[in-house]
Amino acid sequence: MNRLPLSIFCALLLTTAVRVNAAQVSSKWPGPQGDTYRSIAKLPDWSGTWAKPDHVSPKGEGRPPEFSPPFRADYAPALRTQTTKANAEMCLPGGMPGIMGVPLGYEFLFTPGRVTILVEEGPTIRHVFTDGRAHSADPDLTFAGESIGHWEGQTLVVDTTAIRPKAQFFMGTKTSGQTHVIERIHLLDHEHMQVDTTVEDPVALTMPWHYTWTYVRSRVPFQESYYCDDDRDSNGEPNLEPPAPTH
Amino acid sequence: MPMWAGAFNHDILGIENGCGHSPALRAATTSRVMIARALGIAVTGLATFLATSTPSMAAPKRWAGPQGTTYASIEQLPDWSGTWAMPDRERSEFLISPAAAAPYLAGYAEHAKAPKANPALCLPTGMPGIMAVPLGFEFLFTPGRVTILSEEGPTIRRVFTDGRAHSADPDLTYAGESIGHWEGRTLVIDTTAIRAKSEYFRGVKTSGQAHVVERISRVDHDHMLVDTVVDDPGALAEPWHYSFVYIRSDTEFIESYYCDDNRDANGEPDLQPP
Repeated sequence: MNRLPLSIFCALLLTTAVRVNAAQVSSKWPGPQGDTYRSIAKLPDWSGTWAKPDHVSPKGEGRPPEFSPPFRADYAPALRTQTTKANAEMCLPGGMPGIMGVPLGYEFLFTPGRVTILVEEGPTIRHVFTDGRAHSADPDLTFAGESIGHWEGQTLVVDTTAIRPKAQFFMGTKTSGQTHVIERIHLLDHEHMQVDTTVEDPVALTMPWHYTWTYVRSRVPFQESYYCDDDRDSNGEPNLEPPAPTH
Repeated sequence: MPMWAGAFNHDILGIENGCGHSPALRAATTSRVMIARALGIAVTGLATFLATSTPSMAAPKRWAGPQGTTYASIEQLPDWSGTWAMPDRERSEFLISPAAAAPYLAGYAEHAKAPKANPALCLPTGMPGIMAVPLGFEFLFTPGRVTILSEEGPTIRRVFTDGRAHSADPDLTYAGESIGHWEGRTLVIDTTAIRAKSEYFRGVKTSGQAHVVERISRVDHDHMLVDTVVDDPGALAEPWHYSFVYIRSDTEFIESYYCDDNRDANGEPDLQPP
């Protein structure tokens, strides 16, 4: 007699478990995902311009990367900042993941279903889709790659693939075309933002490379910056002064 | 009357509706057009006077209606999501006035051969020409700002809608300094501080004194009207008024760098995996 209620109980439990599972699949991630402006209002405030301090190494804080032999040759010149292979020399953006480590400004724009990361360098525009889509089956390869994101509470997790091989880790060290980047971005406090990055590249790296950036909220407004601009002063900065009057 | 009707008013008045002819190269205009222009300016002035003298100006805010200063306010603005693109120049039937577009097309064909066009130097077209390239645009609404992304360059235009005025001593940039406000469903953008290297269209440069006023509105679900007046005393004999229409595009916004050597025979970037 006791068996029947037990089996009913088990069936109910199973049904509940399946329902919970289904709910998890449909909503995927708990908490606000910024799919509407109303939802965005519940996300942390990342407004303003952010920048990586100059003194932080372009390869980030953490263990150095372990390059595989064909990719190792460019590492030493990059460390000495004596490379001539940096994309900037060819008027091209650094691409992912190096683009996130340049000492220039960043902005994070939250619109429904997307976080757009603007980078002064290049300039580069990263579209991070937070609308629940999966990676494309046959994506085009780009400098910025294809980024899919979701919010885990106050942390934006960004998964980036489809990075073209011309994109660099930093200063001329190229990726392989098989790079996979996972970033976890969150505020430490009002003035500081931490970017934890793990890079997998089975061709260019012998093991996953983990490093961390800390951006600071900047008082300098975001500026435009084009590498091929010949209108630069002796420090390589663009000349933004008005021309002399023509009359 | 919808805000964008102003463009059609100019057509009715007989004013040449730009769309790219080269006023900088024109030495004179006919008196008929000048009279019509004066009439147009008077009409515009009257409209501006009426608009600015409405009782709503007594309100503490400079502009009536939602300005998108908060996410709740943005929800009341029109939906401009998606990618927008100007149709191919050959498909000029999408432009407001094909007749007005004809001289622009001729001018474009001539100047596209200019060796000093910015894209040939790996540089963006800059304002105001950037808005007329047949590539994708996006409009991102965040509190106090509309950000216009252009595939070409790429170029990022920051349009501040937080009520600020133009800077007293702005840096000159390709995108210029843009201050915007909403007049109902129309975004009005006032852009100055455009550097002299910026172009009207390929090879035809601005003077460093260009002043651009754009009125952007969605005509229907799939069409967006960009009505533009450019004043550039250093380059133009007179203010240049033109309009064009973007259509909603099914193509996703793609990245595009002019100095990329990985291009196919059509000049498009090679995006195939190795």
